[in-house]
Amino acid sequence: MKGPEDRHKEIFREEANELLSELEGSLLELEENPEDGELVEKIFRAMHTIKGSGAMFGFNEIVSFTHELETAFDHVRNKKMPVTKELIEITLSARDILREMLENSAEGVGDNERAAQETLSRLKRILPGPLKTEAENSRLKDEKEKENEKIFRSSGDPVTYRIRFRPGRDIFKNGINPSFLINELMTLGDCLVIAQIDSIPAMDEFDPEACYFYWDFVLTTGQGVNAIKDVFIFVEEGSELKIEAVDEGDPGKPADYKRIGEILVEKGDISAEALKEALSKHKNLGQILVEEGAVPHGRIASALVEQQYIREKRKSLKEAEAAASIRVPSRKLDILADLTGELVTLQARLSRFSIAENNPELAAIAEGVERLTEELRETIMGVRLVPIENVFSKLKRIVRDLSGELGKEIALEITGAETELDKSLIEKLGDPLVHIVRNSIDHGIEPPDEREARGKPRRGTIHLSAAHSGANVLIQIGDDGKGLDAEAIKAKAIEKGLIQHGTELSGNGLYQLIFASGLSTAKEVTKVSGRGVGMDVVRKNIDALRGTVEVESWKGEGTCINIRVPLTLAIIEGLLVRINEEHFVIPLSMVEECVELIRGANEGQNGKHIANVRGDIVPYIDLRELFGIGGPPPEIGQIVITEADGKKVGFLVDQVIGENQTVIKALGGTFKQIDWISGATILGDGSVALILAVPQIIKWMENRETERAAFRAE
Amino acid sequence: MLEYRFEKSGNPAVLRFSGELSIDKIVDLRNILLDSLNQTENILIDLEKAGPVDMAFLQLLCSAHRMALKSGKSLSVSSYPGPFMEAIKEAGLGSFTCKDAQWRSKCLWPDTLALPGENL
Repeated sequence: MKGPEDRHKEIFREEANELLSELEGSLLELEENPEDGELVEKIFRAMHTIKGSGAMFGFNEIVSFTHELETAFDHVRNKKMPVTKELIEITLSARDILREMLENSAEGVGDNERAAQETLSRLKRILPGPLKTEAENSRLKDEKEKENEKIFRSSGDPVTYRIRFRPGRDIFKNGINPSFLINELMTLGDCLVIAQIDSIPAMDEFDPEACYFYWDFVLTTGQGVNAIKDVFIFVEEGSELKIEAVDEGDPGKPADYKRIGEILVEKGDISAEALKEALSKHKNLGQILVEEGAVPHGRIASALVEQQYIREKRKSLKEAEAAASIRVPSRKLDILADLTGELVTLQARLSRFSIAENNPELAAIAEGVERLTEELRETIMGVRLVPIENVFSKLKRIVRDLSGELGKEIALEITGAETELDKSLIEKLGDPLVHIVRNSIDHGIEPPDEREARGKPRRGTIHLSAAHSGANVLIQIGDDGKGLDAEAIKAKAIEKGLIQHGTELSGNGLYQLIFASGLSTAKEVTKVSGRGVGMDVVRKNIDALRGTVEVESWKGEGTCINIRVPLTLAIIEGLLVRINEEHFVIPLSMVEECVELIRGANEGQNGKHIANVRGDIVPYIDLRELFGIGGPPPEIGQIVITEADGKKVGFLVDQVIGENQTVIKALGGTFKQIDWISGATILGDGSVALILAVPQIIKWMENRETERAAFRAE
Repeated sequence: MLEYRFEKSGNPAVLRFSGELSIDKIVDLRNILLDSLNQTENILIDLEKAGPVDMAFLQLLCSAHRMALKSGKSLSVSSYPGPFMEAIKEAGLGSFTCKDAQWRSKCLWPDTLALPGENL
């Protein structure tokens, strides 16, 4: 009579034979379609299954032989070697040897060693690297394991996965011990295992040979999801395997992690409705869910373990990050940034000189210096970046205190707090954001009773968000309050003489008036706001950062203020332009396009400068005129079309020279009153180019137009 | 050959196992446990002399424990000798995995993992 072990071996032989037949078919198909990646994967998996199951039942000869074949197909899988006729032929004969090995093991006779060695020698000749002996393999495996551990510890990109593995009920009957799988998974990294036992029935309904266990794992590994799948590859039939990445190991993430309810909903252990209902009872969530039988305790335990595990991981990552950094006075960083700026200028001179000299050796040196300067510049700028979190967190307190003071209920939601921007910008953004948030609390969000009467939740929301948007950072401050009153703004602006009767303004154009000095539509002045000072300061501060502010508002629904500021204040990407002998830089982030202008043909009419760009009317400013630059203008000029605050305005120049790494130098106190210029830069030839303050020039142009209109009306 | 001894005279009655306790003998093990449970109200499993145990045996113990609780009886384990404890930890078992809150205090499995405080 056969024992269970023999029965299991027989099952293995049957399965392995089936796999070998499948392997033969796949190999023949691969010969026809050598580029078919899916077939390669299928072959690899068949080999891996034979090897894995063989190891469980002690078929050592089959295991070591299949291991070599598997290695070859791993190379193919990783595109390290091509599928050739020879590889197919060798693998086909290896497959025949495997079949013989299986038959011989059943009968306990025969020796396949010689044939196997011959096949492996043939395989060795076509492999990209040397095929190792078994002893070497074992040594290398140990080394690889250690190496993997090192990679995992030092790669910096380990990912934490949540895994649920529910094996088929017959896994024990098939002779597979799940301990092997758990142990193999443990070798991939840091792993916690939680058995789920809610399916185990009492003995009167219990089948002792069925597997009722299933498992949750929390695994941190740098080896990727495929390495996890490979562990379960030979039991996947009839099993359920769910792998989800839950933490990317970003040290910038806050140490806090999801709440238990969120984890349970994500895992599908409870529905969102059940969670909501349980939470409404204001008791311990786990207790409620278990008491109500909504979820077995083991699953709550699993969620708790995951929560603690990831919190600890994040904490230790943060600690490691902190330990790996040093504190440097910011003054030193400023000096470093200044010196880099000087270097960029000098490098531009060198490049210019090398072109003029036409000396290939000098050109090569100049190129090398350019590359290094570029890298240095990016690194230094990166060092100066800090998360906006610091500014945002200060606003939490303001919302809390001020809403309490005004008897309002307000929740502050923050997203993108990890967004980084230059530290000097962070320092200067604080005040404008405080002003805007105070205004939202005071004028935007209605008192709870008023909100309720309007069918809104009693609790208002202010949403702060930050995100990178090209070379800028977009900061949005939104509220679900009453929105801006367009009519009141218009009336007030007319009263203050900011606009004329009959002026057609809507949307952002109209809402921009809230930034005008002295304009407040508040019916009463509170100690928080209402005097019309504050928002104009916001505008000035943002302008000083070379940023823009746009306002969107929906009556009765809320307001959103969008602030765009450049990532850095030290160096910007600029567009260098020339008028006669003078050079100017226009910030590239504001440039939309450049078009030609033939003087006289389509120049301004009635003193107005207007260009027709593919049917769109775009006003433009003649910089020659604006700065009083002499000399005859060229026949064909160029208009650089920019966009700021949602308005398109062109700048007429003689020539567009091209992109320029602009190291910004502040102008001295003498030039402080000049709004049109935001700074200067030194060009490669040592001359100075002024940097245009585009939004301010546009504003000046608008004011001039308003004044002219008023004059004409009079 | 399965080695065991059932001493039903005492209270609790003691069921002593020795040698390897695994899937190969699982049907016999189930029958022994069921018979023993039917003969007494309180039963103590003694695994001091037991050899390696596998997951099939662990879930059998869990099932027997559930059977005992269901029929108002008691089943407990005298201690957790080395190989037994190792198998419990390897399987990811512990009192925290217990199915129901009311059974947890009587759970068969030791505290293998300190559970954190719950953050809702």
